[in-house]
Amino acid sequence: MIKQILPLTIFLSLSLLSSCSPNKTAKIPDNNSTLALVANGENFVRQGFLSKDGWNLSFNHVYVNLANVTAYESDPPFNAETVKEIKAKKQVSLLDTIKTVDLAEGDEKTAPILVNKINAEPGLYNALSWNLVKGSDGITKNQSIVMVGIAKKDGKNVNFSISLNPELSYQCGEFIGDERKGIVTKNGTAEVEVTMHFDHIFGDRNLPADDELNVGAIGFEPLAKLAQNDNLTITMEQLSQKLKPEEYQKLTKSVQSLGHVGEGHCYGK
Amino acid sequence: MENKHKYIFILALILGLNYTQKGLTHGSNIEYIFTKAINIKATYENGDLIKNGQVTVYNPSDPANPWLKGFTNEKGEFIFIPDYSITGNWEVKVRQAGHGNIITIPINQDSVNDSKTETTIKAENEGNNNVKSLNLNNTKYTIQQKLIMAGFGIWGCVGTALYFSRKKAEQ
Repeated sequence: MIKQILPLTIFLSLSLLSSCSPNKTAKIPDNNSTLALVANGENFVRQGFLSKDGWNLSFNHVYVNLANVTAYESDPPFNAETVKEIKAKKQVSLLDTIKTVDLAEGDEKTAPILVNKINAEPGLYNALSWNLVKGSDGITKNQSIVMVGIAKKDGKNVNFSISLNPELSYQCGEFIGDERKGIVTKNGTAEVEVTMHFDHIFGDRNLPADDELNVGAIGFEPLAKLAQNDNLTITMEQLSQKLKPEEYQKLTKSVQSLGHVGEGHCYGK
Repeated sequence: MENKHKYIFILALILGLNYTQKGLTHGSNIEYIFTKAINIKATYENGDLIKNGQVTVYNPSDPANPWLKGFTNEKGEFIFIPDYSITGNWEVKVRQAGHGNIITIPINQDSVNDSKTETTIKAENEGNNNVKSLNLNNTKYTIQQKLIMAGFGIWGCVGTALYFSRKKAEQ
C-alpha cells in the first residue's frame, strides 16, 4: 500500500512546493499603468557647485550613456550595502538599448530627464539595475561620461572637456528622497530614477574637509594643473598617465560610486 | 445578617464615592496598557548616532503616503507602535544630510503574538553624516521549526492519500 501511495504523495508535495515559488514572468499589463525612467544629475550639474578645493564648476553638458535599465519588485527588498543580488518577484525592462542623456540640461527647477516610458504591471518597483556603457558614435564615441564646462578660481578660468570611459553595472534598491517612487497603481503612472552624484568626483566645499565624500574625491585642482592655455581636453587614458597613481585611483573609485537612486546608494562594479 | 448589612453599607459607600468623582468638573483619568512598540536605532558605520534624522513610516495598505513622520532622538532612536491590524511590509525611511535608506519590517499575526520578535535597525555611515545602510534583524522561524512544519505538511499528504486509498479498497 505504501508503495502505491508514495508516488502520489511525492507528486502532491512537489505540486504544493511549485505553487509557492515566485513567478518571475512579467504579465502583459491589462491596464494603462505606466512606469517612467528618469535620469537626474541633480543641481550639482544643472547649477554648478564649488569643488572641495575651491573651484567653481559650471557644466554646459554632462553626457552619460545608459543601457540595460531594469526595474524590479524585489523580495526581500534589495540593500546595496549588504546584498549583491536582486531577488526579483517580477521585473520590467525600461531600456534595452544605449541612450545618451545630457544631465546638465535645464536649471535648478528642471524636472529629472525622461529617458523612457513603458506599460507596466502594477506593483512596487523597489530595485533598479542599469549599466553605464561606452557610446558608439557622436560625442560619447568610446566614452561613457563626457563633462564639458568651465572651472573658475581666483580669477583663473579653465575650459574643460573630460571624457571618461568606465563600463559599470549598478544595482540599486528603492529610490530615497522626499517622495516614494516606483509605486505603480492600476491605470496610474510612476517613475524610477537613475541619479548620479558628481560631487563624489570633485568633492563639495560645503562639507567638512574630513568628510568621507571629500576625502574620497579627487577635486579639480589636480585636473586644473593639466590644463594648457586655460583649456583641458582630456581622456581617461591620458589621465591614467598624467595623474599621480593615488589621484587616478581616487578618480576611478569615485566614478564607481556615482550611481544612486535619489539619496540611496547603489552597488557599482 | 449583621455582616450582610455591613457589606451593603460598604458597597453603597463605594458607589457613592464613584458618583461623587464623576461629578467633579476637573476630574481626570490616566490609564495604561502594555503594548509592543518598534524601536529603531540609527547609527553610522563608524558607530556615531544619527541624531535628529528624518524618519518616515509607511504602512502596507498605503505605501505612497507617510503613515507617520518624526525624527530620531539624541540616542539615534525612534519608537513607534504600528497598527498591527494592518499586516504586511511596513517600511521605515531614515534620511540625513542628503543620504538615506529605507528598511522593511514585516508585520503579521506572529508579530503580535510572538514576544520574542525584536526589530533593530542599524544605519551605517559612509561619511560623517551620510546614511549608508540600514540593517534589519528580525526573529524568524528556525530551521527546526521549518522542518517540523514541513513534516506535518508531508504527513498531511500521506494521511489524505491513505484515507482515499482505504476508501477505494473498501469499495
